[in-house]
Amino acid sequence: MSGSGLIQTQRLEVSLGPQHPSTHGVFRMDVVLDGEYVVKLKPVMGYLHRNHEQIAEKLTWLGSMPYTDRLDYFCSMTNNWAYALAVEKLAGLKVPERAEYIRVIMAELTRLLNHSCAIGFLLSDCGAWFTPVLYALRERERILDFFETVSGARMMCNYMRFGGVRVDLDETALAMARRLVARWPSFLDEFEKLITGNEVLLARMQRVGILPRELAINASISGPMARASGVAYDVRKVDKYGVYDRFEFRVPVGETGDTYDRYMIRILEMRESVKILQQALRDIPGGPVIAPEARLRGFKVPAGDGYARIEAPKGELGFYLVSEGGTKPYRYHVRPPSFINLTVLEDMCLGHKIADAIIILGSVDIVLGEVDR
Amino acid sequence: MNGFPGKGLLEGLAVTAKNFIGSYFDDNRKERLFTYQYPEERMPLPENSRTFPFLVYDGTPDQLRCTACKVCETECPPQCIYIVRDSDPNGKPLQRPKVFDIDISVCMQCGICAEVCPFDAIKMDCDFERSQHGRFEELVAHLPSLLKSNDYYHHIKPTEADRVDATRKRVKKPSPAAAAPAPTPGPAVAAVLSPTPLKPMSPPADILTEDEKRAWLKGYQSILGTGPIVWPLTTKKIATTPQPPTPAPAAAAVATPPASSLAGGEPWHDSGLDLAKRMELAKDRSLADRLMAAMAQLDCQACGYDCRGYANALAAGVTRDVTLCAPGEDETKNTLETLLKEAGKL
Amino acid sequence: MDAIFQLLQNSGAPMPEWLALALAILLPIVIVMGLFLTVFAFLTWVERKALGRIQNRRGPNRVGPVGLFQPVADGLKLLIKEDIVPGAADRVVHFLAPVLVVVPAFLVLTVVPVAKGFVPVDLNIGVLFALAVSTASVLAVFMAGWASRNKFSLLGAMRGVAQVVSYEVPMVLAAVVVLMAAGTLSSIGIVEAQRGWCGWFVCKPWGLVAFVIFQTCAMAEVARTPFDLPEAESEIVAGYHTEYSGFKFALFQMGEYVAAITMGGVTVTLFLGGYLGPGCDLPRIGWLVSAGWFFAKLGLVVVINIWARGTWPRVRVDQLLAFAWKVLLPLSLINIPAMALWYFLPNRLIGWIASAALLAVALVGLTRLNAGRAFEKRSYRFIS
Repeated sequence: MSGSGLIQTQRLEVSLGPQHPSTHGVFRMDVVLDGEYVVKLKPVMGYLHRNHEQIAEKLTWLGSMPYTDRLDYFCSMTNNWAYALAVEKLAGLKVPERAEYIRVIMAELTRLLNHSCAIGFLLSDCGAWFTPVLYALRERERILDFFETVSGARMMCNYMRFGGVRVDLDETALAMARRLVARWPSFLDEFEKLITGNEVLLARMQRVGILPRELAINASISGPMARASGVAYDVRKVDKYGVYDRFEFRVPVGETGDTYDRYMIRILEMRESVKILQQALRDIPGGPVIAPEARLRGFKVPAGDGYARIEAPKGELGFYLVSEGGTKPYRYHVRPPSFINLTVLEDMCLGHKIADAIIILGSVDIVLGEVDR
Repeated sequence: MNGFPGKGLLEGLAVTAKNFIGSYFDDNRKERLFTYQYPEERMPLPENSRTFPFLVYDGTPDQLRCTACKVCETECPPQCIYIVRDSDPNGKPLQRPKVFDIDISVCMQCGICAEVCPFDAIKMDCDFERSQHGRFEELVAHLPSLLKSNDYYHHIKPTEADRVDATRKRVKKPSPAAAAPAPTPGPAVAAVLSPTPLKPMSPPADILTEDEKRAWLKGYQSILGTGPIVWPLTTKKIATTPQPPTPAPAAAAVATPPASSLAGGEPWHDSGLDLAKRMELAKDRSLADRLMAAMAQLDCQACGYDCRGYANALAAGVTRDVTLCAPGEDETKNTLETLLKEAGKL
Repeated sequence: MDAIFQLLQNSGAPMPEWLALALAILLPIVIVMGLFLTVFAFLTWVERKALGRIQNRRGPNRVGPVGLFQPVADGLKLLIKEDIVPGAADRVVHFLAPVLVVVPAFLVLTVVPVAKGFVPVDLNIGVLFALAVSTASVLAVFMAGWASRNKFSLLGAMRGVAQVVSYEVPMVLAAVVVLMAAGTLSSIGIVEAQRGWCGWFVCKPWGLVAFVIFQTCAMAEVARTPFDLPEAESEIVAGYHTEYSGFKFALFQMGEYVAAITMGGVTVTLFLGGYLGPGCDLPRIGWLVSAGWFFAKLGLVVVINIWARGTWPRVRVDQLLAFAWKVLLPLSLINIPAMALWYFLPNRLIGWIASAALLAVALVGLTRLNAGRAFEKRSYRFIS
C-alpha cells in the first residue's frame, strides 16, 4: 500500500510476459504501476539466448557466418557484413571494389526493409490494425524477392564472405534492384500520407518517451534512436567503412527524442537510403567480387584481436574477435545495438502510462535475436 | 498543425480507399493485391533459391559424383551430415558413400556444403515442402532420397548447372554409361525434362482436386529426383535394371596422378589402395613422398592443396597442421604425425 | 406489433385473443431478430473482406463461395469450444454478463423503423427508449470485469465504463437537436419529419455536425476503432472479456457488433432520413423500396465504420476522455443554439448562414483551445 496524500493507492505489478501480442519477440517487462502511471520497469531478457558466441568458438570462421544471419534476423546482410569486416580487419584482406558496392547496395536495402518493418510494427502497436504493416510488408516482399534471386534465401542470406561476397550480381538482378528502388519514393509518399499527419498518431506519439541527449550519449545508444535525441553520430559518416565516402547522402538528426521523432527519423533515413541506392546502382563498377587470397576452407586468421563496427539499421553493430592464429576464433563477441538500446527503456517509460510503454518499446526497435544472441 | 483539423485523418481515409479500389483492378500482383493463393498458386522461385541439399549423379544413381571425402560433413556448421564411406567385400575403401544422412531438421540451409564440395557433388535443392508427420526419423534424409540426376539439377538451376558442367574437368570414375545405358525416363518425366528450363511451379491445369495436386507435387519431386533407384549397398545383384560393373577396380586405373616430376612416378597415388599398401609402396622414398602416401589420394583439396602440395608443404615446414586431410581421417593424421615426429619436424 | 394484432383480430379467422396477442408479439421479434442476425453475419463477412482489400490481400475465401460461410464457421467453432469459468469467479454474474451485452443491442431495434410501416413497437418515446436501453450494456461490461475476479479485467472494465459513460452525453445532446427539429420523440415521427427536398437532417449545418458527433459517439459506445480501448486492452493489460471462452465470447463479439449495427440504424433514423427515399410511397411495393433505402443507408454507415477501423490507430484512454469532454460536449452544446438560430430566424438563408458560421467558429475555437499544444510541427536537421 502506498499512500500519497489523502487517498491510499495500491501499486500494481504487471508482468508483460514473454508471450507478447506486440511483435517484438520473447521479451518480458516487469512493470510496477501506480494507477495508470509506470513507476518502475525492469526489462527481462534472455528468453532467446542461443549460445551464439559459444557456438562460434567451436566453428571455423566461415561456419559462424550463417549464424550471424540469425542475430538480427530481419537484417541478415548487415550482420554478415559486420562479421566479414571484423575478420577482414584481422586478416588484412582487401575487398575488391565491385564487392564493396554490392555490400553497400545490400546494406541499404536492408535498412529499407528494416525501417519499414519497424515502423509498421510500431503503428500496429498503436492500434492501426495492420494496415500500415501490410503496406510496408508489401514493399518489403520485393526486397526479399531480390535477396532470394541473388543469394538464394530471403532472410538468412549468408551472402558476405571474407574478402567479398559469395555470388555476383548479374544484369537481371541489377535491373530488378533498380526497378525496386524506383518504386520506393512513391511508396513512402503514400505511407506518409496515410500516417504521418494523422492526428490520432500525433497525439499518441508526440512527447512520449523522451530520451534526453545526455542520457543517450552516456548510455551508448546508437542508431536512429540516438539521432532522434540529437546525437549527430552515424558510423557511416564517422568511420567511412566500405565505400560510403563516395556517396552523397545526409543523415537526419532530431531534437526532442520522443517516439514521434524516432518514427520520423526512420522515414527520413529511408529516403536517404534510396538516394544512396540510386547512386550505387548507377556507379557500380565491374570486376571480381571476392579477393583472390580468400579461401573457404582452412582459412586462418593471424593472431590478434580487433573490433569492427557498422551502422546496422538498428544502431552500431560491432564484432569483437580474438584470434589465436587458427581456423577457429578464440573469443567471439557481438555488440548488439538492440541490447544496448534497451537499457534506457526504464528511463524513457517512467511517468508515462502503460499504453505508452508499449509504444516506446516499439520505437526502440528491438529484435530479440540480437538482444539475446 | 497544417490544414484544417482532421486533415490527416481524411488523408488517411483517402489512401486506404485508393488501396481498396485498386485491389480490385490489380493486374497480377503488381501493386495492390499481393496474395498468392497457396497451394493452388505458387510463387515462382528464382533460380538461386536454396533450401536443402541433394546429391547429384550423372546418368545413373550409381554414377554419383560424391566420393565420400567428408569435406561437407566437416564444414557443415550445425553438423547435420553424417557420412560413412563404402568398402568392397575385401574391406578396401571405395570412393563412394555407403551412408549419407542429412538431418533436415538440423540443416540451416546455409549452402556451405555446396560451396566447399570439391566434386560439385552436393548442391542445394529448392524444394521447401518437406514437412512430415514425425519429428525424428522422418526428417532424416537418407542416401536414396538425396540422389537426384544432373538433368534435375539442370532443370532447377540451368545457369549454375551449365557452369558446373563446363568447369568439371576431373573425372574420378569412368562413365559406365557405355556399359549400361541410362534408363529412359518415363513419359511424365520426359514431359517435364523439356529443353526449356522450367521452374517448379503450379501443377498442370488438368489436375483439379486437392488430392491430385498434392500427389502430383510429391510425385514430381520423386519422379525427377531419384529415378529408378538401384543402389547396390551389398554385393547381391538386385535384378531390376542392368547393373553397371562395380566401379572399384576401374577407379584404380583412372585415378589420374597430378603432374608429378618425380622419377619413378607415384604408385601409391591411388585412392583404391589402403594405407598400409600405400606406405609400403612409398617406404623408401623421400619424406615428402611418404607424407603424401599417408594421405587419402583424392586430390580433393580439402586441405587447401592437392595431395602432392600438402605433402610438400608439410615436408618444408610451411605448415604443421596434420589434421587437414579430411578424407583420410584419423589414420592419416596419426601417420603424418608419426612421420613428422620421426623427421624431427614436429 | 399493434398492426399485426389488429390484423389478426379483424381477419375473419377464428383465433382466440391470447393467440393473436402472442403471435403479434412473437412475429415481429422473430422477423427482426432473424433479419438482423443475418445482417450481422453478413456484415462480419463484409468487414473481413473489406479490411483485407484495404490491406492488399483477399479476405477469407475458403469457406463457401468467396468465403460467405465464414461467419458460420466462426460461430460453430466458438460454439464447440470448452466453456471455462475461472474457479474464483462469481458464476451467476459471469454467466449473465454476455447476455446483458446482447439483449440491449437487440432491444433498441424495437424502435428502429426498418421500412415504411415496419417498426415492431411504435413508442411515442422511441428515441428516449433507444438511447436509454443502449446504455444498459455498460453494466454488462462492468459485470464481466468484476465477475472474472481478475485485477486486470477489472481495470479494463473500468476504463470501458468510463469511455461509454463519457460518450453518452454528447450523443444525447446531438440527438436533442433532431428532437428540436422534429418535435417528437417517436422514431417514425422523426423519419416523417425528414420528408421533402433536402429534408434529411444531415443536410443542414447543425444536422451535419450532429451527425458527425453522434456517429463518433456511437463508435465509441460500441468500442470500435479508433476507440477500441476495452478490447485492445488485451494488448497491454487483459481486457474485460479475457476470462470468457467459447460461446460466451461469441456473445460478447456479437453484442458489440449488433450494437454497432443498431446504433447505425438509429443514426440513419435520426439523421439520414430512415427509410425515406424516392419510391418509398409507391402503393404496393413501397415498403420494399423503403426497406431497400434503409439498408442502403445502414450499409453506408457501416462502411464508414469499417473504413475508419482499417485506417486509424487507436487513441489512448486519457485522450479519449479528453476528446469527449473537451471537444464533443462543448460542440454539441453549441449546436443547440445554432439549430435554434436556423429555426427561428425569419429568412431561411440567413438562418443557414448564421448557424453555419456559429458552428465554424465553435469548431475552430475548440480545436485551438485543445490541440494547439499537442501537435507540433517538427523540423529535422541533416548532417552530411
